[in-house]
Amino acid sequence: MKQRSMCEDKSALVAYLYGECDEAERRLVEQHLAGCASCADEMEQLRGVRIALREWAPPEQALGFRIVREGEPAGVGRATKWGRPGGTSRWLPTVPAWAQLAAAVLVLAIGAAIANLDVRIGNGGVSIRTGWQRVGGGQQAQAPQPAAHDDKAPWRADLAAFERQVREQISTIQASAPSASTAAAPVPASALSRLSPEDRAALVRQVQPIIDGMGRRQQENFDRQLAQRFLRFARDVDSQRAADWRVIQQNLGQIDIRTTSEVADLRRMVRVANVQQMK
Amino acid sequence: MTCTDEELVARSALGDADSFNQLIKRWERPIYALAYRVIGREEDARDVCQETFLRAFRGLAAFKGQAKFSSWLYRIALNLCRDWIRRERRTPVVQAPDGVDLTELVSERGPAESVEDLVSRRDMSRVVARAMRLLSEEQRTAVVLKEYQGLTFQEIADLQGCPLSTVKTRLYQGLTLLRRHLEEAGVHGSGGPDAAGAQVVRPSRWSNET
Repeated sequence: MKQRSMCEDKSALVAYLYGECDEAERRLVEQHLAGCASCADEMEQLRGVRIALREWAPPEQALGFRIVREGEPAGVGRATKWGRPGGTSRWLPTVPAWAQLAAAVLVLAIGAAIANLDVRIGNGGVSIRTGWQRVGGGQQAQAPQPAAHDDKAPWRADLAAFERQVREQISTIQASAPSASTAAAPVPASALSRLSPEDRAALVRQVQPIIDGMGRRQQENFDRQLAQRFLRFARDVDSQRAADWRVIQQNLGQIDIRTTSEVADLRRMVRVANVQQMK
Repeated sequence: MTCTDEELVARSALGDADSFNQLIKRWERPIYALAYRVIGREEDARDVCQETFLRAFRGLAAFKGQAKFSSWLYRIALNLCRDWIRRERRTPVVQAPDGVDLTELVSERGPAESVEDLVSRRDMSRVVARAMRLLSEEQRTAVVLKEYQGLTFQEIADLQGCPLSTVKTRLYQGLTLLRRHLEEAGVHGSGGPDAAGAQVVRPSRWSNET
């Protein structure tokens, strides 16, 4: 009875063929095969098919797909034959120059702020200041003066103003960014996105201990508010980057769908042309 | 240190493109191979592969980690393959004959291989490819997932959305059809009980047959 059912229902044989049966099942199948020449022969044949299947290799293809950030040819790019990332197409609309400029300015501002950490060693111990110590002040953008200047150096106020301007720029960018439903216009993407999370974390890591260390040694000279402002600004930069990224993703999706379907249409047309030629 | 797929997925979901690119690097070959074997055309397999990763990237938020990342990718890829197959059925397709490029063969030749070996291996690959095309989409997919992706019956059942017993039936029917087609093509499969890998089946007198 058991032999008969195994001849008809092949699931046990298949499980045995692929070694996906438990010990009891395996023994049953082996018992059956020992007494049933037809099934034993079939099992041999199927093993032979499995061996033949190994010969089927997919053609060698240079793949190298990757998601690229803005600034490079974006989208899931495709490597060229030699594995070099090559843009077969640009997926992102060109970022407007003004947006790039605004982004560059913002990055510059952060860099300047860090560079302007002003460390002094004197009778009172060690003091540290950043360029953002003073809020408000003149609007004119002025090149930072050497740090040898005294505390009232005008560039500190300028930098604070600069920061405000940059923040305004960001809100302008955000306000003009297309919403998810109407995302078809060029994406204002900022160069901030180029800062990887590691880079930003490293940045904060580098600055934080300096500030903390100095703060411990001389509390009264240390303007904690400045440090907090710096960190808050870093966080803002972070969220701006995340927002940028989301917009880019949404746009990528739409552009890609369009491109893929266009390619498919083209291909279909070529095939139809081929058929007509053959006739 | 090598990160797990899941760690990379988590980072990618936070917008880290590099992490996602690592995932692509890890999985593009298996996905391409899967697509190629299911739909049988190089260029379209590439498109499916690319589209799979794009959809995965866009859908990262929807991936809750309830399945393995690879299973999720397979599912996306198989859905795209199915769409492709349905589209193709409505479109007249002229299959370009797969010519064997001899110069390419010679340049690929390893020190121990004769050109003859390579031709027969290439022929064998073509015979199998042709035989696979004759299977139904479900049978072919089951065979590909089992033979080339090494999935378990259960994983295949999950991906194909069918009972375990159906997966076994598809595999059995698929292999039986393949056996018949391979025999017709002059390939006589006969692996001994312990012949796994020890015996390479070659198309016997393949070149003399029409």
